[in-house]
Amino acid sequence: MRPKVYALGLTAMAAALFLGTVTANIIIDPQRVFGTGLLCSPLNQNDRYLALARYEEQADHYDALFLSSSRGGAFSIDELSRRMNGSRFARFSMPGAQVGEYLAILDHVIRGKADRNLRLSAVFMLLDIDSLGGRPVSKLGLQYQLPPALTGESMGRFRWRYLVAIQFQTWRGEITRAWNNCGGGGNRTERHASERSETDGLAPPDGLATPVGLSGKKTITAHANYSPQLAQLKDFVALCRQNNIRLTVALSPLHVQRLREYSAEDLKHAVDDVSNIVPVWYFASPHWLSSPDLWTDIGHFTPKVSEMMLERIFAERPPSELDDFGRLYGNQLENQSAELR
Amino acid sequence: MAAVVLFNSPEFIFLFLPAAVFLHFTLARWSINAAIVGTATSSLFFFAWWNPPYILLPILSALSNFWLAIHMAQAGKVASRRLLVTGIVGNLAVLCYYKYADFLLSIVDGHKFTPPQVPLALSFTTFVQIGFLVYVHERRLKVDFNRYFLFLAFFPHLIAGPVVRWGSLGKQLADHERYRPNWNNIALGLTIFVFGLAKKLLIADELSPHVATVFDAASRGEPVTALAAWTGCVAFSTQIYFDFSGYSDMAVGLGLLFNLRLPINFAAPLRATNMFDLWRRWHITVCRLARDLIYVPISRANPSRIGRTLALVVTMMVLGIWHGAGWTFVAWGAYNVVLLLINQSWQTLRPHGTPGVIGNFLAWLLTFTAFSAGAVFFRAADIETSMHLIRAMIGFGEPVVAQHLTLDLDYRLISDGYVSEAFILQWFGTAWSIRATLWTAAALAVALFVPDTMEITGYREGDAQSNWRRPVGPFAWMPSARSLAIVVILVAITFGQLGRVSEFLYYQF
Repeated sequence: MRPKVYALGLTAMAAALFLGTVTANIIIDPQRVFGTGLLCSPLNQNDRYLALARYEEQADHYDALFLSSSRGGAFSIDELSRRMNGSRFARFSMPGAQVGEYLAILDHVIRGKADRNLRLSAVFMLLDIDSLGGRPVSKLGLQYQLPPALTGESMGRFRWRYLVAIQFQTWRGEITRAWNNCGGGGNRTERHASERSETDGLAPPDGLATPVGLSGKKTITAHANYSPQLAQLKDFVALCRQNNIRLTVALSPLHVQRLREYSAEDLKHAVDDVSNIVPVWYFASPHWLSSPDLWTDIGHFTPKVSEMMLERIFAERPPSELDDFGRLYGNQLENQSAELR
Repeated sequence: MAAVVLFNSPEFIFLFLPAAVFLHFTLARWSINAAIVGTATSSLFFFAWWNPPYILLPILSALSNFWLAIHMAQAGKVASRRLLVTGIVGNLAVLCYYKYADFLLSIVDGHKFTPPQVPLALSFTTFVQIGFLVYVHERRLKVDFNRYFLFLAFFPHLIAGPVVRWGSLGKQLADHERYRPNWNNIALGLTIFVFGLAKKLLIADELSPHVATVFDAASRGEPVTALAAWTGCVAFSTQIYFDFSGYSDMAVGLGLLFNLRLPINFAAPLRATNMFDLWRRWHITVCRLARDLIYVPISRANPSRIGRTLALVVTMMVLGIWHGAGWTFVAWGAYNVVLLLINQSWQTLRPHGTPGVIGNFLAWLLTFTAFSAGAVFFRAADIETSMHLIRAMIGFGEPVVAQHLTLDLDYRLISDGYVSEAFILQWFGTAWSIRATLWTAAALAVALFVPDTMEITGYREGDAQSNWRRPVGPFAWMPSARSLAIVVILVAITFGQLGRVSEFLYYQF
């Protein structure tokens, strides 16, 4: 073979690979960052990017934030709004989200509102105690990348990553779904459920997982980022106080099967550490909570559970059957509860 | 550190590189000087991507060194020597200011030293500039500024070598024939580039998280088992070899696209059977320049055994410190001095020994083990971390209490009953795993048994000793449909890894 043919052949193959990748990413838009919208709503959309984009579209309309991981997808924003004096909540329910990301969003929103002489009145934050201290997932995959407005990155650079990423399986999956009239592949809640084990900081793809003791129980407080994330939580709370924002913090309930994976002593330690920073609603796992109709999978509860949580948190007189479900923890509770409620 | 345009990033491969090559040969059809200026500008753009204001540094360095070179060419021997000394001191002063100032101050006032952010490419360009000045001083050459500037700033070697010499690259830049596309070189260059990319992305980057886990655990003072410490060091030695030789391959490949032949930097050093051999085959261009600029002058001034030993000590210590400011690099240099002196003594005792297969294997094992153990200084964040690992390696580390198994890399093995959790905790502790061991062994096997890029392609520029090369038989590269198919497959595999761009280890030096 002549060297020229070889060199041009190799260059052409590489160029074709590159252009094919770019074209596929623009047309399929698997993370919905280009807004092409030619196929179905993708399963791997970047919820962080989209949540912020939705917020920015009507930034002046919202005066409250709902921050959670994908578990918060079960909450009704309208119901939350009704319970919290009609506050207009912007929803940020992002798979595997952690407190550092909530802090970045809060900071961004407060600054934006201050520029327009507006203020944020309330924040409802749903924390996942089981992934507290885990490695943030926002660096693990394209669908988890934080939007440029939160990282300071340029939009061009952000989009470039999505343009040149080879993602055969995702392309194939999206094309198959489009072929099946957007059916197949599961709905988004199911998708979150199936990817949760990889993305909620419990078992990231590189194998750095929740520490496990010899007893076989997972321990939260041994997470590498445990202390830094508690510090971020402190900053978050301080930011809310500085800006006179009504903050409600709840820990998402754990399925009994999930709960058994954790050392009870360590879990209590972690809840205590959080409640030392901010009063927090801890929803223990009474036996009735393991009922299958309350869970879509062991990581995600149904809207019914979220309604019970809101009832427990906000009702003047919660029904007696919820007595063993949800309790407000806080070492400085006496001083802070009035402020909180 | 700001963003760097890496050879392994899509923006470099698919945007910058094609544009730079196209610009070079298009301008060359019009004028050679235009091509030189155009590619020099591309190189500055490449550098400026990292941190635009710092672009002044290579420009000022080039202007001042060129000014010295002009005056040296016109001056008498003594005056030229003075200018040379001024140039060397000036270049080293800039390097010291950015790289060693805080370290030196920490020695004086005892404050805690923090590794500085050294301007990109400074360590390498300092060596290149000093080599250039010495060359001009010895020959009193007149130098064309445009050629000189491209020689210095040519982006394939600018950031992390190979360290180029004016006597080689300068001459090539003067050859007008080289400003026409050479399809032989382009085909070869693309192939070498792809091989280098594969070394970096498919091997070095796979080892990186395992190495980081064990060294980070040591830096936090956590117990590390002897096996974890040893295999961690072996993994790092293998990682840095694939990382840097991959980078050097890519640089050579890029040079060939411009019809310029850069020197090879690695000659399968992990196969070396003694320390002198290893250092002749590792980071060849820097070691050779250090030999010419430091070892030879000192040993020539004092050719006795003591003089040569002194030259060896100074050369290796300079090489150690050149890699970074900090006591770990001083210790690493000193450690290698000791290894080389032991090697020298052995060669004195057994001058004519011809080892058999077993002897060769033992020689390799000893050499590789000794070299890998040096990673405790080279990779560790500080001396405390190094000592922590050394204690573990010699069996005096704290036992792993095994409260937590923080890695789940071996869960499949545990859950399938092949190995117990207690076994992993006892032997590998919390910072290492069976999977990491297997990765390390596989990578080492590739380094030892798979022909190197330069063996496969037969590229020999700057390869002073070719006795390391083994016959590659059917693996020998030539432009053919089979080679094209193999390289295209490699491109497709590596392309899938481009999304997780990671920096080259030698950028930090």
